[in-house]
Amino acid sequence: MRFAKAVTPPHQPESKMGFNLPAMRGAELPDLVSVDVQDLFPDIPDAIHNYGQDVAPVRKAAEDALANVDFSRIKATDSVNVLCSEHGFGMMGGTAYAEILKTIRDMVVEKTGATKIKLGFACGLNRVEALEILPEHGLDKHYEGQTFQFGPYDKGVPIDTEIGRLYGIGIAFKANKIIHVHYDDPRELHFHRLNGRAMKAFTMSYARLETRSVYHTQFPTQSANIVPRLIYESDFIQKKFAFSTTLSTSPAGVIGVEANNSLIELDKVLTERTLRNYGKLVKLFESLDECIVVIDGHRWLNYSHAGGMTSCNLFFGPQDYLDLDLNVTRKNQTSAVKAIVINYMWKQAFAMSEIPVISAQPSISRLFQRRGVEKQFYACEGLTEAMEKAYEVTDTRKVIVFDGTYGAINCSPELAEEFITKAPQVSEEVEQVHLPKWLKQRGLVPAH
Amino acid sequence: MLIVASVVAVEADKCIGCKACDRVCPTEAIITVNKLAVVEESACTGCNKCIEACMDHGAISRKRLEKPVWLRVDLESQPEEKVAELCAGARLHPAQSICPCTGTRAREVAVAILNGATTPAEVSIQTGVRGVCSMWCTSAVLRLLSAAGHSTESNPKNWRLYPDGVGPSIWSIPDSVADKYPEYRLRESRDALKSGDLELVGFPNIRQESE
Repeated sequence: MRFAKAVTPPHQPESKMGFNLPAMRGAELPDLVSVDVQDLFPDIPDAIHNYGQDVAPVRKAAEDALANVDFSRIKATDSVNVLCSEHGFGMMGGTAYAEILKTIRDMVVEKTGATKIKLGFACGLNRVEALEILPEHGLDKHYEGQTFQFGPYDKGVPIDTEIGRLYGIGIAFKANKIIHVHYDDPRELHFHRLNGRAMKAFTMSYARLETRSVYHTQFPTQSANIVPRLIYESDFIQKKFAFSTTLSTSPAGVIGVEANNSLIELDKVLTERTLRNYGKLVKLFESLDECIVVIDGHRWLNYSHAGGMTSCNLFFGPQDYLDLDLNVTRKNQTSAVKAIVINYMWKQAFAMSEIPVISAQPSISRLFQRRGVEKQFYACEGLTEAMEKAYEVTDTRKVIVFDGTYGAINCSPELAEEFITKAPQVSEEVEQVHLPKWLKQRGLVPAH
Repeated sequence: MLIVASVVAVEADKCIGCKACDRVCPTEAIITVNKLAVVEESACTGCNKCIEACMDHGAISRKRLEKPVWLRVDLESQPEEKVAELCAGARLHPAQSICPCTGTRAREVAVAILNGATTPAEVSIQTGVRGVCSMWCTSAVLRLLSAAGHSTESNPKNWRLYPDGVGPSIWSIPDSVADKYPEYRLRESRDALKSGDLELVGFPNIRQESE
C-alpha cells in the first residue's frame, strides 16, 4: 500500500516549568505516514475548523448556538464567572475553544448589559498553565484583565447534595452566575463511560480534591457520574447556573458549537454526537493488539491527540467502555501499548507501572525518575535514540504518534495498513451492533 | 512510594507572611512563624502546592536535595493478616493501587498506620501518598485511618483537607437516589460489588500484583 506523508501537527506550547521543546517532532520520523480519518470512516462529519485554519466559522457557530440560549437568567448587575478548563486548550492548539470564550463574553455584554464578567480558568495540574495559555490566546485582554485561575487545593465551598456534602472551589463559584464552557474529545471514556460526561467538570475542574477522590475511587465508573449530576442539581449550583456551551468536534476537527440552558439537555446532544462521530475510531483502537505510542503533543501524556482520539483511549485496555453493561474487573486489564516514547509532555497524571517508558529528553526523564514507579524506564538523548530503544524492547514496528493532529493519524506504514484493513469490518460492526446498543443504553433511541 | 529529589525553600525577603503556603501544605511541612514561612525539610514531599500558592510573590522555590529521599515503608514490619484486616475495614484490597501518581498500594498505607501514623500528614510522610495531586488517594487514606480508629478533623484556619467531603460512596447511596436516577445503575453496581462481580479498581492500566 502507498500512504500519504505524515501531516504537520499543531505547534507545541512552550513550558514555563523547565521542559524543553524537542529538536525533532514525531511526524519527522523516517518513513512515518498518515491515514485520513475520513478515508477510514467516510461518515465522519466534515470540519468547519482545524488547527491553523480561519477561526471565523467557530465564531459564527458560537453566535448561532448562543442565539438560542435564554440570557434572562443574567441581570445587568450580576457578577458572572465564565468557567473554562485547561483541557479545552489542548485541542487543535486551543484556538477554537478560546474563540468560544471570547464570543460568550461579547454576547453576555450585548444581551444582558452585565459588565462584571470574569474568566475562571480551571488548571489541570498547576497554576502556571494560566500564564502559558491565557496570554497566548489574548484572553486576558479580551476579558479586560478579569481572569483568575484555580486548582483542586484552593479554598473549598461546601455543596450539599442528596448523597451528602461535597466541596467545590470557592473562587470558581464566587459570582451570582456561572457559565460552564465544555469540550467533547473522547478523553477518559474509561472513567465517565459517556454517561453524563458534560457534567463531569463539577466533580473535576471545579471541585476540591476530596470530591475528585470520591468520584475516582468510591464509585464504579458506570455509576460515578451520579456525583457531578447531583452537584449540578444542587440548590447551590442551580441558583447560579446560567447556561453551558461546548466545543463540538469529530475526528476531522471542529464541527460546531452547542449551547443550552440545561446541561442535561446539552449532555444528551453531546453524548449522541460523540457515539456517532467517534465510536468507530474507538472500536478501531480497541482492535489493536500491539503498538508503540509516541507522545509528542502538548502538556499531557494522557490527552494528546491523534486523529482526534486521545492517547488514554489506548492505555486502558481493549474493553468496550461505551458498553454500560461492562463491569470493569481486575482480571481483564491488558493493553496493546508495548512501549511509550515521550518526546514532549510534562503532565503525567498517572504512573505507567508495567509499560516500558522511554524518555527522549533529559528534562522529561527527571519527571519519571522522581517517582521511580515505572518498572522499565529508559532515559535517552533524542527521539531517534528513543525509537531505537523502543524497537529493542518490543517486537513491533507499529507506531502511532499522538501529536495533536485532527483529521489524520500519523503512524508507521505497518499500523496504517492495519487501520485500513480493519476499518470496513469495524464500521459494519459499530453500525449494526455497537452503536444501537450504546444509544439504547443511554435512552437516546426508543427501545425496540 | 515516592522519591523526593527536591524540597522547597523560602526566600525570607520575599515572604510577606500571608500563610497562603501553609494553608495548602498536605504534610504541614511549611508553617508561618512570626510572619515568615518556615520549611521542615524532613516533612516536605516536594509536591509544589506551596510554590503555586505563592506564585504572586515568588517567595518559594525548589531546592534540590544532594541525595534523594525515599518515602516508603518496610512492608515486612507488620504481619500480613493485620494489614489485610485493616484494608478490609476500609473496603480495600492490600494490593490495590490507591495512588496513580506514586503507585502507592493500600497495604503501604496500612503498614504506615499500624506503625503509628494517625493523621493524613503522617501517612504521607511515611509513604509518599498525597505527595503529588491528591485527587485519587485522599478518600482511601481517610478510610484506612478511620478503619484504624483515627478520626480526621478539618481546621477552619486552613484548607489542607475537608474530611467531611469524602462521605458519599456507592455503599452509602440511598435507595431513593438509586431509584430516581436509574441511568447510573446504582443498584446494579452496588449488587455487583456485594457479589464480587465488580471491584473498584481505579487504575486499570496498572496490573494488580499477584494475590
